[in-house]
Amino acid sequence: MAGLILRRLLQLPLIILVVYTATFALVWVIPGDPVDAPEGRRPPQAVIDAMRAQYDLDDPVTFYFSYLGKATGISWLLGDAPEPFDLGPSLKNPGWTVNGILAAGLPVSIALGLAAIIIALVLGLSAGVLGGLRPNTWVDAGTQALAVIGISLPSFVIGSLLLAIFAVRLGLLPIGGWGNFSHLVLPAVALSLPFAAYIARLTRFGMIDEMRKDYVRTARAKGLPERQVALGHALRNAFLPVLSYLGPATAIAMTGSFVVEKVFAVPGIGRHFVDAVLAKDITLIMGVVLVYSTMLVLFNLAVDALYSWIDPRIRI
Amino acid sequence: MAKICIPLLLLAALVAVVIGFEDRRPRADFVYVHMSDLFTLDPQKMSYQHDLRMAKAIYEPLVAIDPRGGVVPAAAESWEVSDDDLRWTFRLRDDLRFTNGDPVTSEDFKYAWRRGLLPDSAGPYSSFFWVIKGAEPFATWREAALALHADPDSRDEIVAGGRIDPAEADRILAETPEETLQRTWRRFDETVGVETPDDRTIVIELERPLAYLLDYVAFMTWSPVHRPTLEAATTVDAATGRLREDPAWAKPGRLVGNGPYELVRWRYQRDCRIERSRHYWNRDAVPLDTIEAVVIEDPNTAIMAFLAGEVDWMPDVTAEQKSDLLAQRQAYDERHADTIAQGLAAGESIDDILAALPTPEAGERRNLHALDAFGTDYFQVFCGPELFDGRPNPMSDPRVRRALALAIDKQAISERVTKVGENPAPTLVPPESVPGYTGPEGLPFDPERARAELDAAGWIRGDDGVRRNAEGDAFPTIEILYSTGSPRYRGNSLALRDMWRRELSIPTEIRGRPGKDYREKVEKGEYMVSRGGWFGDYGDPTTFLDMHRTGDSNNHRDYSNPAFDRLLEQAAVENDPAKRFEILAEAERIVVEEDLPVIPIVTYKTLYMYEPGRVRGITHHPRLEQHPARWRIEEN
Repeated sequence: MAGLILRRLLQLPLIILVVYTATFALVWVIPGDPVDAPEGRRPPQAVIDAMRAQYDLDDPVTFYFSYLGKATGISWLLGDAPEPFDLGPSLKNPGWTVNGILAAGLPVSIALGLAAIIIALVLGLSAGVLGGLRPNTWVDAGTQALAVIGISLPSFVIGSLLLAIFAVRLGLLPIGGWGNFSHLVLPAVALSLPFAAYIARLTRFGMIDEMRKDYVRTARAKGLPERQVALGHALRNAFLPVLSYLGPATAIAMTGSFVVEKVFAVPGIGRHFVDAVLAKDITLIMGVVLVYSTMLVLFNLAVDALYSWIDPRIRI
Repeated sequence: MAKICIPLLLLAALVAVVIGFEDRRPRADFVYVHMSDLFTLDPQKMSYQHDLRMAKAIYEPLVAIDPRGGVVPAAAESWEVSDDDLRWTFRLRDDLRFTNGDPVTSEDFKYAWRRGLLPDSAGPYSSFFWVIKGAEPFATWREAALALHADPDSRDEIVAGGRIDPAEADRILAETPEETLQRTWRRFDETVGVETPDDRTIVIELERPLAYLLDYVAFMTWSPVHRPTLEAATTVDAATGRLREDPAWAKPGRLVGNGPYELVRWRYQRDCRIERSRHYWNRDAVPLDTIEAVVIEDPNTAIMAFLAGEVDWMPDVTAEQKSDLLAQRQAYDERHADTIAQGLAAGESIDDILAALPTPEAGERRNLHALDAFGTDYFQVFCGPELFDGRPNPMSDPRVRRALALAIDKQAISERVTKVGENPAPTLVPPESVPGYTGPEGLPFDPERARAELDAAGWIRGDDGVRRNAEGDAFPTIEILYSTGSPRYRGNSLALRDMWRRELSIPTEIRGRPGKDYREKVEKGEYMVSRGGWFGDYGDPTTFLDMHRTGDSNNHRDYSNPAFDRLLEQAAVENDPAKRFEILAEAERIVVEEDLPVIPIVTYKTLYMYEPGRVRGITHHPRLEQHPARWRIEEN
């Protein structure tokens, strides 16, 4: 266990370096110019040139190493930079640093993503267990139908629908924004549905499978109530595929909620992915990608650790 | 089960902690929507509409634009102009304070203008300062001095350019960047026409008379900045000698303004909150204590937020369903047509009339407002003798351009394509937008006359339906270039294509390009006809006419008419405002009736949503100069 964590942590810098290099190459070849304004008045050429020089935008090699050094904290360790993990200033947003933008948006996205995953687990597991225990009945058909809808309806449709019903018509919840638990409910539900649907299907198949196995028969034979058989024994094993899905799912929920963030005006980092690429805000792109890939690696690690905790037979 | 639940509970606790750390404040007195975040609150660097609007709350220039488009005193209480119209002396109020309590002096204005002019710190509207005597040469001189520091080897080239004299170039080369900076400040004081005889007096000496100077200095670029704050954020780059500013000075906690409001919170892509300044000279006349601009990018969500009452004003309704909303407003207007007409005839404001009417029924609304804007949607025609690919350009003949314009049914475009009730534009300057100015009549929709113009230009339609000139060459296919940024652009282009094909038998195609690509092609003149639009920056017809001068940096049409240029020169030195407007109207007539380098299509409309009677102080004047310190909420 400790060995695994150590090995994974040692791999982390390597993975990050590969991701950084690949992103860097892609960013540099996409057309566009980060210091050019797409609309509005353009600054004089001299101002553009000065900005380019200031951020090493005229020299990709210098940019690659200096940004990498500052972002990872190596420059700071070497005494070249005043602070560690400096992701630089946002090129498109004067006066905002990438660190500041991420510090403001990341907690929001994390809270939203986690809330969505919690809802998805509760909904998905309940639906999956219900359907899995009574396969091919109307309960099963009903939950599966809901799951299909959850997967196939795009979140901007669900989002607008939720807003129109719960916020505009019933006036129960706020339209958008952030700051209270009430702000969290609708976007978290909208974000959770595709995950819930997938979890429901995984659980259902797992339950159907497990309930046929010998240990379930044994449990029943020794007189355990059906509820305990299902939830105490079968679900524990049926949950394992869900668990391995949870690692990437959580990372996606926490960072990939571009549409949901937009529909509900949630100030998370999901939109920066898209906006930064469209604006070719190189530092913001690199910063978001570095943080995201680090999170992805760490979540997969957490899931692996949970694996052996939930099912002690698994030794990794 | 327990093993599954424990991690879940931990995650839930984490969510609670994150939410718990949020900065919560009560709803502001007035909340309005930004479709995208503010870009900058640095008055010398801003150019976006929503930045300029917020800046009006945070800064205050010498004068302001009132709700009817006129000029009123702001930081200056009075002014006078010399007999030759070249020296403007402004007298500041004696109780001006920054939001931190420091007094505002004439030096703060001078400092801000110098900063806005200096290439190191200049922004997109830097050339606004070039009306000041000596300002433009100063800016190019500074640029040359910086170029010398950046590359001493280029000395001969720079001196040959005439921007700097050889002896001074050598002295600069021998200096440190810091010394050159001191030299720059001295040069500004000696050569640029801004004087500050005392703390409350500021004098602008102009290069040449500028009839609309007062309107011009109401633009936010002319706002003062707090000198100590800026100086703390400025360093000299040792390598290049350039001044470098930390843009974070214009953020809450650091920004110090002289306007009616103080910036208290600005969260990236989220919201911007201002509170009434305790030090503003006219603070008792500012109605609202707190104002907040929230970012809602999704237009549908923004409309729902308005309908749910979370937002008081939506300045840019761009949602797909805007024509539905507009139809609902029209239904309401129609039912009360008589009452509205009577009220308007009696001189009441439309908002008062609407507020007094009964509540809208299902399928009606009164909270959507389509207002004429200070901008014109047009198509521009490349006028040079040769096209970018070397072919001769048939549209270099004004008769051909007139034919193209006469064949466009603008009313049909407004009704069937743009569908927000925009008025067909006869002229470039939106009608009745500049007090005292009456533009020309413009060209009507007259296909008959259009064909006659084409015939006169020598493009005769043959029996095969193809127009050919005397040499027998067929009229080349016109390609209409448009930006794919909005469906509207494509729709307008398609309409033109069909009209020209139908009315003129000219082969026409459309060609959409992504925004940036489109702009590059337009700027390089690599197009035949392209869609465009222009919003005025200040309240004078020249804001729409200057771009047709020969060689103007915004003249992407290669248009040149000496008679037009002469009229603009004449207007520039004309002292009598009425005569000046007559000259400008004649200049505009040349553009929109004779030469048609651009073909005006419609006057833009801006769609607002707010509850009439409840939200007060939103002006309907085409300049749409909304001033936060004039907004009020009246709860019934």
